Amino acid sequence: MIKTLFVLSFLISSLCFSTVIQYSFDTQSRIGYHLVDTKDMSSHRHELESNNIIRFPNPWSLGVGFRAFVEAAYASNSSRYSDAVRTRDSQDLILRDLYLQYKAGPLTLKLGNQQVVWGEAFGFYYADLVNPKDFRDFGIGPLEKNRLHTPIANLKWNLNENIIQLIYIPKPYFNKSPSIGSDFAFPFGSFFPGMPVTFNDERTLSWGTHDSEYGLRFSPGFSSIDLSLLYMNYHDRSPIYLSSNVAGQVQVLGTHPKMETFGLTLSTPIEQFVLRSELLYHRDKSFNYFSGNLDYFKANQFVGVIGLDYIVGDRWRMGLQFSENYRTQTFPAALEKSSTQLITGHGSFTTLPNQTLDVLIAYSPHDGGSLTELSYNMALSKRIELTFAADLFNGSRTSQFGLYHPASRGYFQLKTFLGSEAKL
Amino acid sequence: MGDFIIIGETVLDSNSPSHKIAMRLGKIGEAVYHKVMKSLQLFLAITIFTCSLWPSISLGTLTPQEIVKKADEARYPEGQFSFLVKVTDKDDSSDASETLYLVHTKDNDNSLVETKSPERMRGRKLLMKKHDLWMFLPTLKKPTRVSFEQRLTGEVSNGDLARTNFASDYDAKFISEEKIDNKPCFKLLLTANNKDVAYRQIVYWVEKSSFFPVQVKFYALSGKLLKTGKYSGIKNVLDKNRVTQLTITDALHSKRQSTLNYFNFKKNSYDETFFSKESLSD
Repeated sequence: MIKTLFVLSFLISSLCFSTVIQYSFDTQSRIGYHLVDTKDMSSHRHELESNNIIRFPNPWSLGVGFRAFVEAAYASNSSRYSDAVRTRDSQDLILRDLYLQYKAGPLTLKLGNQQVVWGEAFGFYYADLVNPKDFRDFGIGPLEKNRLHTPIANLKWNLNENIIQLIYIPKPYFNKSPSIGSDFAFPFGSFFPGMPVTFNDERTLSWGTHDSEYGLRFSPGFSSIDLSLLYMNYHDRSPIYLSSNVAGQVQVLGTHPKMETFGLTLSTPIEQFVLRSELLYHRDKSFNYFSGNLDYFKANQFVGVIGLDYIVGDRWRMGLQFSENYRTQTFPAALEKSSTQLITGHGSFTTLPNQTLDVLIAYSPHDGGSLTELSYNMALSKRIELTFAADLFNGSRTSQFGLYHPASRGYFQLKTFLGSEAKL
Repeated sequence: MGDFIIIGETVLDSNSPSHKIAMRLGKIGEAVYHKVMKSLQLFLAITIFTCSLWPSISLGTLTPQEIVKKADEARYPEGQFSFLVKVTDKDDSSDASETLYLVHTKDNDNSLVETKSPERMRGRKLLMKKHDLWMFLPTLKKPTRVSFEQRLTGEVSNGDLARTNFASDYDAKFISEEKIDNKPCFKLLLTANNKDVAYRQIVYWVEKSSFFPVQVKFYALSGKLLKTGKYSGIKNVLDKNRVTQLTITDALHSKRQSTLNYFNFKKNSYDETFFSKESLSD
């Protein structure tokens, strides 16, 4: 017994020797109001987020993190938000990193809850298809924040700058959709006028090989060009809906059929520009159609993205991006057109020292809808940042963005950044 | 015993036949000797005169390029190492702000700059690998390629932080000697030998006695003066005295100043993948 304790204490102390701990506790408080129709409260949210990395002496490290939030607007604004929204979205505790990493020479193995990010485009997720996303807030905000960490075995092999990455997901997780009755919920009620609708898209699959997913990425080590070829065999992260009418009650259930994606992504600098591009081929992707009930069909889809970033001096950065989704099969009752486009422009402008204005405008030529995100960020100190922001949805009520016009909002947000680094 | 004459290491008797031959040879040798000496004196006089007219020869045994290399050594150690840089920005319109960076560098071609402070910017990284540049932002959680022009951005340019020596990026020429702050200095003109550096030309003052850099002026591709810098803060760093402070003043706005304080230098050994784009998110 004493011997075992001695060996254990020796192992722990040797493991902790020259261990580095990077820890952070960030808070975020946001108060927002709707900007159209009823100017009532849209958000009164407080968040705490902690991200920590413990770097043991090579080759091990451990990542642990969580985010917790409370959203009081749903309770205080009961005339707008339903009980279902209040119950589901008023608070949440989200596990973020919980992984163990082994890195030795050209090999990196990361096991556990983590993010795996693929792709070169900005603003929207195209090739970034590994982790599910949280769309309860429309996916607005930092892309990293909206990705949901999930259990992944992630092996990377760096062979003279040629990267081979293999990922294995033993239990798939899916996007979190907005609850019926929340600002960004899809209006299923319009399909079934006058009928009560119940909704459930929280599908859980089991651990094991039957539902497991896998992916592969290869990035050759060319100079001046970042090129990746990727493949993923997985379940669609977005739900496909099926409805049934049982005794005058409509039930809408989400499902996540299997599909495959082949992709190519690249970015390369051209003088002061950076060209970014993605080309994806979704094989056997499912699409919803409505014909008395919600159902789905399978088809293949191409997604092309091309964009340019441009830097003007050290105070202005701009980018322009165009994307096209093209489904190979037309289907008369499909909810999504066979060809859709999105033009996105973004800019970041430093107005005064430590103050920036960020603008993102997305426009869909196929339906005339647009989204404008404006935010003005002011650093009040090294650890405090104040933001004034607005998210504006415009276009007809049948357009991709105009559908959410009543959810247009303005808010201010105070963020604090606490944390440091310690060496044992 | 008669007189002795020494030829090489052989000692000859003055009465021997060999001695007589040696005496004749000696007279011929003496005449040749005087002629050679006269020529040598003339050569030396010409050389000294020429040297006084041609200043580059007065650098001693070092070429301008070697002087730049010595000045580089007085700024940074060689090889693989890390250090912290505290950058204090001052502007007449705002209070001073401080940013702390941790810089890892290997042979001047590979650099990783991590922002450590302020907290709201913690976790940002910039990787410079030969002519490639990537940025890692925690809000994206993926490395993003940025144009090499971005090496010029930032209050202090990214290139100022990531490139640690001038000798490999610039060809040096001697301009003149000048006194800066009462220190006799070599004034050198450095011209970029590749297009991927932050500045096209640099005028560089290096102290004659110690080879410490004293002052610097950075010029853009257009030939416009961008900023001037002054080196100071000589301290012992990794067993050698080096300058540890650089104050950079904007050429257009003289009140816009950045002071870079270098400290906590450590020799390191980085593995092959440390300066890899893929490692940025690990």
